[in-house]
Amino acid sequence: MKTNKTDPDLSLHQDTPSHPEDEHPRIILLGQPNSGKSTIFNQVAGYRSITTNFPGATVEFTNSHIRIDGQTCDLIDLPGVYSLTALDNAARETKRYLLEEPVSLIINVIDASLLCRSLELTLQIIELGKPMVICLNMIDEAERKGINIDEARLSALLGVPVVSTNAAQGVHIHELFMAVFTTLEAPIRPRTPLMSRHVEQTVQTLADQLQECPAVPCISPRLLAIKLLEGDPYFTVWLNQDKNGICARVKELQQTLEEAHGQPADSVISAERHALSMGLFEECTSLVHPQHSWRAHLDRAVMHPFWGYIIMAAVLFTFFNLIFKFGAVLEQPILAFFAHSEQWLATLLPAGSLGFSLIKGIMQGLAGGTAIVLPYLIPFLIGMSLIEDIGYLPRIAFLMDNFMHRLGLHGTSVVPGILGYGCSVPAVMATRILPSARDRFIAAVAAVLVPCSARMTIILGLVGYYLGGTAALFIYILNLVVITVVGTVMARLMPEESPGMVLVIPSYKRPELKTVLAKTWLRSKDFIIFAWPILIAGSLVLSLVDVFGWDQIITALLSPLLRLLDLPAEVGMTLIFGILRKELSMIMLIQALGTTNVASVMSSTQILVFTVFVVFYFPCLATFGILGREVGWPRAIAASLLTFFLAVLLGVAARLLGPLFF
Amino acid sequence: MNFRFRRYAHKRTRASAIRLSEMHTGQHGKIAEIVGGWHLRQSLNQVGIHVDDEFVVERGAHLGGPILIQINSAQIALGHGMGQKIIVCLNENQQN
Repeated sequence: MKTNKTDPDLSLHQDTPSHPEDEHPRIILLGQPNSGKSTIFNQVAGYRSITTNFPGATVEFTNSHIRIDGQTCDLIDLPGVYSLTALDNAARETKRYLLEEPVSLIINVIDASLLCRSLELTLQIIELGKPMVICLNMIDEAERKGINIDEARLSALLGVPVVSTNAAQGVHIHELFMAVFTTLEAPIRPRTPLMSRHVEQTVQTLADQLQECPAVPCISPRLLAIKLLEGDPYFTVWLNQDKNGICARVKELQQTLEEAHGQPADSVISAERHALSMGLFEECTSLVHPQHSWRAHLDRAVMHPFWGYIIMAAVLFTFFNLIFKFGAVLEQPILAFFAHSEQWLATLLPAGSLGFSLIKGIMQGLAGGTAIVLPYLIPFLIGMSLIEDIGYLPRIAFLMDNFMHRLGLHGTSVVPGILGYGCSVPAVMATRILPSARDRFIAAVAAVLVPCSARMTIILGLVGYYLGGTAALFIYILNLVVITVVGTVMARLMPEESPGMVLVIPSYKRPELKTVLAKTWLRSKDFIIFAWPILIAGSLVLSLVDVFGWDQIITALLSPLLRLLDLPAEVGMTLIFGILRKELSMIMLIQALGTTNVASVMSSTQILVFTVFVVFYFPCLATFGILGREVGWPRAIAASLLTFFLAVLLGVAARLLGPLFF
Repeated sequence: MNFRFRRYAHKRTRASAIRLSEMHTGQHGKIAEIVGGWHLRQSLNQVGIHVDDEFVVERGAHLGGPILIQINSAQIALGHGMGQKIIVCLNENQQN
């Protein structure tokens, strides 16, 4: 294989120091989606970056200062990219970081079982001219597929250290970082494999011209030339500002490539890169017969046009049913314990005194968290982690593609929706994996409407507990119907062709207990550390409001809405708290009603109306913030108003229809 | 066949060419042409789908649903619309 051993473009990078002297070296994890970058990051930095078995789990970068064997560095986990030509917002984030931030070394993480495809990105990273180390991750998966990789040969061909790892089990992670520190001390410039003669000449012609151009962006002219010929909009924007006739030259050279190769210029370069990768792959691997595994048989059933849907319904039903059963078992004794404690408190302090109200407020805050949120939240998060890590999410996306088309979206949009069952904040952020702004907006609104785990605690803890599992299931089905209608209407209002689904289906993986627990902790920490104290403080404030009679004012303001929904006046305050965090509505309800037995003061219909309203009305503040950031403030406000009107409409409908069932 | 030929199409497509979305489970084929713009070509090339690559259909499109193919040792799901824009050549022994 021909390689460019002396890279003439490296001088360009010397103007920008890779890292300031007083800072630690900055090492980035870069690779294709689902190659295990976050898993490696978590192995050395502690569990801080959520890992899942579907492409596009990481949509923003995570930074950590790490120390290994007395050596320190800053490690950055970037969203995965298939190519340096970014097609979605998550990939744009990575590209911006790569081109604008100082980087000392790149760890190119490769899914070894997809070596051939992954090398196409490696070839582009090499063009950046930075020191790099290749990490062949999931080496066990490659062996299972019958791919034996000669690391030494690959290293010799590309001129960079190559380390095989199995990050999920922490195998060879130490060796990887030793190679990183060795390379940092004595940087080796990777070798650039050359494309076929005509393409290489065309690229070089443009690169030479770019080198003479004074306003050239601070990247290698060769990489810039390749990207301009490929028509990458990130760089062609720069062309519009140029005054040196580069634009016309690029068009002329693209034309030359098209005429000579019979394909558009971007396809020509892509095909060249593909051919180079195939060449490298063939030179450094030996193929043996793949191991027969149960995975192929499982996929045949899971993605079957009929049985696939039956399995999906069974999995999701069992998942929510188990959470409901498990939570209900715990909820009852804990609520009973707090009810007893309250009675005991009443014997110690005179009821209605300030001391009694304060202690009761704190106790009710604690009761809400321990009896209602945690029993449902923790099992949900564990189950969610299992579904994510096994790799079932992309399979659901595949099965749901047809249905999502009716919403004017495609299968990949189902991923933010499913994440929405956990928390709306990461769900809205996950819309970054969608390439079109219109798809992102519709998917974000749908994700906000999906009942997050906080709202799930209300559905299960209130409706499920007092009205039965069927009523809880009804709310979930109603929710899906509403999302379908809203999605369809939005798609009609914004007619634009969705780019369609291209989704890489990852192999099934055995979930690691450590990862599942760490992920559950990372997600529940948000509730335990941040929300619970607010909740207890909120409960305390509500007690004081009650003691001093301020609640009359708020209740008076909300009375038209409460009358419309036929809810008790005390509920008004809880809806205000629900804007802060959705769990608060439920917990504050216990405080506001002054009893842990909600059914004694609210009728079945009122419980249903309250839950329906809370499930649909205004997203919590954190979600609103992230929605504003991702889709823009006017759209975030419009989406929030929409959810409010939906909640009122559905609340009134529940009020009118509820008596027919209860 | 009424699909929109690009100006290069005559070089690639052959008599046995059909759309990917028309293929059935278990059929083998070779990508002949990607009939679409820059964005479509890029999104397919990036996940390892190139002209002349061989593949096998793991699940054909049912009722306008997506297609699942095995290509370059990866499993890739493509929406039905995407499948209509990919022209493929069937392997010789499957043409009839």
